[in-house]
Amino acid sequence: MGLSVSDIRKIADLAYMKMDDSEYEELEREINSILEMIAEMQQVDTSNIKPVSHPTGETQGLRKDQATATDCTKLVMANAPLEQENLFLVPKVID
Amino acid sequence: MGWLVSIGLETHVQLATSSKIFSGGATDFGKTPNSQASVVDLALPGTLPVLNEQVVEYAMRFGLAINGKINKRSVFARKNYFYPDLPKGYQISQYEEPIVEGGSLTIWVNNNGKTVRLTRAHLEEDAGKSLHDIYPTHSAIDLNRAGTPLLEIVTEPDMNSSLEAVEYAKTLYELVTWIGICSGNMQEGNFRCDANVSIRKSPDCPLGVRREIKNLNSFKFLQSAIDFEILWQVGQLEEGRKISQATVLYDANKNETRVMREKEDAHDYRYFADPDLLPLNITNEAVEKVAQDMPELPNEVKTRFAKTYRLSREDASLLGANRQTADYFEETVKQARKLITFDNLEKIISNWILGELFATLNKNSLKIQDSPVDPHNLAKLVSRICDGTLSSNLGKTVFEQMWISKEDVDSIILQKGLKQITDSSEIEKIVGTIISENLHLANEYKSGKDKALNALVGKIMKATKGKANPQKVKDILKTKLGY
Repeated sequence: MGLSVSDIRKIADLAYMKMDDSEYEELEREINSILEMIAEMQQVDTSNIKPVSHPTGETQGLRKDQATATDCTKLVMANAPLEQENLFLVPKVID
Repeated sequence: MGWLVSIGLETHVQLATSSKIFSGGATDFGKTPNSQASVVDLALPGTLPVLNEQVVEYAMRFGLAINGKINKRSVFARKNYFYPDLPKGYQISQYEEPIVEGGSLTIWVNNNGKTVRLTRAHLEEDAGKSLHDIYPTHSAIDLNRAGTPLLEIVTEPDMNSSLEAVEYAKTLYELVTWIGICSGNMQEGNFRCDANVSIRKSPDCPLGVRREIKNLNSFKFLQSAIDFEILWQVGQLEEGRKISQATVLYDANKNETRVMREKEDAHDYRYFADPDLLPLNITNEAVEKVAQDMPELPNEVKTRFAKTYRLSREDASLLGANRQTADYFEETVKQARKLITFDNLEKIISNWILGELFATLNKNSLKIQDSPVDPHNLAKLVSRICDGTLSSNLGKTVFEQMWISKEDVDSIILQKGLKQITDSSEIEKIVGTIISENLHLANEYKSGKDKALNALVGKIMKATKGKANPQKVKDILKTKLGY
């Protein structure tokens, strides 16, 4: 039980978060204390209780299949740090 | 030494809607970059996704077509990963509770039916497009495709060869275009497959370690990628090496697969239920309503064609490969039956469609629904062949003329004087002339050389410009030459 520094590095990698090496040990302590609290909560018997990811009990409303947002170029490109010919430019990535 | 191959496919089918799955952005292909990405597709602050009702209906249609279970409740989840063409930093998909579960598809390989079990089909949104080749120092991002609705269809590892995998992909393609949920344009990426391939020694062993080949967008590449992958895996294991789980890409130019990422780098997508979207509820009434509008399905049509029209499974499969061809065939049969009663009528029509019509359509890069020769005219042409007015060869001449001028069959026959000579006395006269001009052939035939008869028939057909009925010519010749 509990996370190691290397676990935390992996999570930081997945979340694209850049951190100083010194921060990891502090994070390890903090995260593990949260996990301990969760472990305590997990001792409660919830076998008869439904998960509440959507607590209101409401269901999804639907919209008609109509293209209403036509030509959003200006709105969409408004925040582009770098663009050319209506394309966003980003550092070269090949994966 | 033999190896048993197991293949499972994941297919991304683009659903034929006018707007995105969660926004009013348009889905047209080939528009100015970033002109069709809406603020919802980008999840800009203050926006919320709302589900498109059409994609739900399409998923239900698919669920019914494969006899799967349409879940009363399904949940949208966020699949988290970072890539420049994924504007939100997550893709909205379905994970633990997909819209369709189970079901199966029957494929036909070498005239044997085989059932491929489907695991699930879930709704999700497509990502944008990265363009790596336009600028030397940067990758360019076009988000027009972001938010385009997809149905991802996942099979069990039930296919045992590349041929079966391709047959499954083709059958699925026929089905989704047939039921009208996908427009099926492979060049535009409407239908993309990922193939999970593994090998093992025998059915008693557990499945081998699989490698996943990503993003195969043609049946040809699907087949050659799997073939390469199987050979590579067999090579590894026979040389005593281990295979490690990996995602690979197929390079069509080099015909090889290469590793994109190993298992250690496998994405941990950290799925969780999307708090922006409520669970999707599907009522029995909604399913029933869709069920009422379901068309007859491709496999049912093919079986019916083979049975009621007495066609081979292969011919029936070709005629039932898409709705347009199936409709064309049935309409031609209907029209022809009004004109003539003939024993092999349906088989003759099938031959004309699969032969002359398909060849001419291909030559002119036309689809059957755009054929200048419509079912009515083809029916008339076939009836004129069946009633003896035209020989099959002259039928082809008339067909060519019809293709160009769209004229009526009878007026072409009249204009070109193509009517077959069936009047015996007229044929007898010509036969008499040809015999007297070719006495040596007549004598050869009389002395037992059967080939000489064919030579005579040929000369008579030439003299009549192909208009004499060949069977009648033969009969008259034989009588005249004393047989």
